[in-house]
Amino acid sequence: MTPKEYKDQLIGQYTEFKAAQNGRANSDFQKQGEQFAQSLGQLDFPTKRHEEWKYTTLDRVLKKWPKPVFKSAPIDHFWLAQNGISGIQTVKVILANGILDRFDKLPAGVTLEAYSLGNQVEVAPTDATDIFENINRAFAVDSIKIKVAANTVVPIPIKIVNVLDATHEAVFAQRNVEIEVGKNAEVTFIERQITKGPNTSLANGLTHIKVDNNAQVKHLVLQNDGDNASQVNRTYVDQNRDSVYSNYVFSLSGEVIRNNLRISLNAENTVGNMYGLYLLDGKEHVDNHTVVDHRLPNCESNELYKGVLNGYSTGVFNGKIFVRQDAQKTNAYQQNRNLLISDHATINTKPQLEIWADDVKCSHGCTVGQLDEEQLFYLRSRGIDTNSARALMIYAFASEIVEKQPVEALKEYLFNAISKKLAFNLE
Amino acid sequence: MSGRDNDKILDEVTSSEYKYGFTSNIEQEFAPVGLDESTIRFISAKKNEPEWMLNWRLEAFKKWQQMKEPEWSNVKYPKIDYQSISYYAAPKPKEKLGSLDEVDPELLDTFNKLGIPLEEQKILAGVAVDAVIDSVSVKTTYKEKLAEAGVIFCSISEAVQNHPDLIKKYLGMVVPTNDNFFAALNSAVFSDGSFVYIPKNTRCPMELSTYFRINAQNTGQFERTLIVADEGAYVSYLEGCTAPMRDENQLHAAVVELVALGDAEIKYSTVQNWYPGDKEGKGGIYNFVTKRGICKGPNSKISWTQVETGSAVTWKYPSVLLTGDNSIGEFYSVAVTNNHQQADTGTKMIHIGKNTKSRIVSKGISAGVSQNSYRGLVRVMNRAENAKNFSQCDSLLIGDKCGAHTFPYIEIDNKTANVEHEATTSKIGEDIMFYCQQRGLDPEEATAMIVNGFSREVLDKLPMEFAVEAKKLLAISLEGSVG
Repeated sequence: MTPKEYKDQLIGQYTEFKAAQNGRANSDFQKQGEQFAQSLGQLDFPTKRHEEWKYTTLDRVLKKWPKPVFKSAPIDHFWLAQNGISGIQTVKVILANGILDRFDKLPAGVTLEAYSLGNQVEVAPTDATDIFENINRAFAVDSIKIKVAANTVVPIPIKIVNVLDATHEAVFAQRNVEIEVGKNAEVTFIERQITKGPNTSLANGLTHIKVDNNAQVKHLVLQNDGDNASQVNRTYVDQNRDSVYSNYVFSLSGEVIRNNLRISLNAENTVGNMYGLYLLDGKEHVDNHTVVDHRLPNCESNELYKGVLNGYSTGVFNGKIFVRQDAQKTNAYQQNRNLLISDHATINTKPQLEIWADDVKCSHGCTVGQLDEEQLFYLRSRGIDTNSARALMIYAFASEIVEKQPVEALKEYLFNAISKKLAFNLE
Repeated sequence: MSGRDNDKILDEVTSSEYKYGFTSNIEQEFAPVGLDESTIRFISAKKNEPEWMLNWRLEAFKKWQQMKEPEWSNVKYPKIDYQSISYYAAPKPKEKLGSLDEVDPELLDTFNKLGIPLEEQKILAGVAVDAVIDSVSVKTTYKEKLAEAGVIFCSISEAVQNHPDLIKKYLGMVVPTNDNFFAALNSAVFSDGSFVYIPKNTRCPMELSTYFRINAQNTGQFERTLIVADEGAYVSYLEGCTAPMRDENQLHAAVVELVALGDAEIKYSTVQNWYPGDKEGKGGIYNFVTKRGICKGPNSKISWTQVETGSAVTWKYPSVLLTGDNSIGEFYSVAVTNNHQQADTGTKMIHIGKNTKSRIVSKGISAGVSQNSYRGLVRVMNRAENAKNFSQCDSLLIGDKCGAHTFPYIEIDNKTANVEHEATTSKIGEDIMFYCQQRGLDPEEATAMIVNGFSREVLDKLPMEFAVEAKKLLAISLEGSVG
């Protein structure tokens, strides 16, 4: 099954999809969706000849023929609770196959609308040249909008969990989330995906986040969904004056993961932070593409992505910093550090600066290396066996990102996940 | 510093003149404008080339016809009409040149104006020069002395006649005819260039140098340089280039191939000062060059050093294939763009052998409304155990209308690799300027000093003769430009 054939079949399935949307075909959301479905004909899945997809291909996922899902699936909440993250209090918003299933009582100042609840949800402009965004908009059954009112400080994190049901067959699901954070508001989001069942799942996420004046948003993305789960994510962040947005992405397990994160600093004195950790093994493939677009003066961006690559895994990092002509007094920092710990692992990294303003301080750094023999020797001379010493050092390397994320209660979960991945017991 | 001062100084920069913009009145002969098989046969016949050489060219031409001009670079220029260029221009041959007295005095005058030590007394400075004007090598000095050491240094057309075995063996080894669009074009139509062969265990007794000059109108220059350092040999090679001021753009598509066998070392330095166009961006040279070296044997070393101040559009990536174990590749570059110049330059280091090392130091300086890009690739292949790379790309921005871009590709397929990359972009710090001015330097001097310091790491790698010229060039290109 070539990607082309997959796409052709996908187009053919649109009629079926439309029929399943009983009766709301005249809504703006679906009308727009139909346009996106039509333009799919001119688009193709990217190949290695495509600069943005030079190192990543979804061929191996598409080969398994993930079937687009048009409806929600019943969620076994007992199972979900078992597979959840314990010891952390959150407001849960649960989606099933990208469709709103249920949500907890929302804190004061937070509202939720969804297309499936009968609301007219307006989706931010979509990149029509991007096949994944087109597919998302064409085949999205639902769109969820979460609004945080001005001056609201949300005391506990809002967790958006997307459950994919791959019990019977390989699935392809769309997730469409819009977030608006009002002036002076503070909120933390946790985004997670979890696949049920043994088959392949592919999730295509499109998230738009608007951060208004002086708001502070922290956004955690947990990607720890097993070897059959793949995801393509687009996250667009638009920041207004004096706001701070921080993104933390933890890619701990998955077949093929592609994250596109784009932060636009649209007003003065904004800060955008991007932190990432990818810990890969087996044949896992993780590709992080980040863009931070400095449009106006006095903004700052910080980026630190760290990766540990084991087995036959492949890591890709492409970080772009754009500093437009008006964006004087910009400070932009970017770091990508990688540890290769197996003979067959590969890392392809491309830190990129494009600068059109002169009064700026921009730097990027990138390293690829292995564990320091001297440090290893130090630990071993103190009676720690080689494997434990190695694990300890990798753990220390990774913990920098874990420590940066703001939810204290998540640290234990993350550290456990990392130890499990390293097959190392820290107790 | 007030804004007015800034403007004034920027004005001065933009009005600084290109001092090599004269044309010489030399009798020349041209190939008819346009490119087809007959052009290639014409060039080949002019050079009195053997059959195999002509076939090699024709094959390259066939490949070129099937290729498309690449568009991925970060530079913009109007489409080139390859049928409106003359592919061969040469000073009219008089007699075979034995001594300098027989050289056309106008030509000598040209080279004197360029400050190239063609004259014998200047040769005492210890540099052997091959001068290439438009497409043809006009004079190679100090041949006899080099011959004593067994060093072959001649124009590539002579080498085709006199050393066909070496040419057959090495030409196209590093840059095959179908390597890329411009390399294929060059392979088909190259008219001259330099050839260097350093025999085993020989240290070339002097610096070798080629001076390239485009003189004629409506021509392209396509020279080809091939340097082979046999086992244990060492050579340092310098390349310089200038062109007259003309309103239309001229194409320069050269190919440089370096082959370093076991324990050999090649040091290749370039001071590129083609005409950059006027301050409105009119005219100037398109400098699309393929430069690549191979460290074929163990313990070999290739070092590229370049100072790029000229050309309207520069598009080149001097690269090293590190095939031999323990081999070393180096790239040191200062690229200055001003006015409407665009540069997309960098390097590729391909680690194939074990214990290979590479080092990249790139300094970009942008002023005016120019765009300066570093594009580099460091690839460590699966079998390249213990590869080490260090890359540093710093950019300096002068004025708020220029751009600096960095596109480093890092592809690592071996866990023992140690790769570090760092890049910074900034303007000249106000505190540094203040410090200098406080001590009585005017802003111009201060800037020149800071830029020189910024580029020092690279300039220090240049051979003496070029370092002086390069420093002057930097000063001219950026005189007084203050951030």
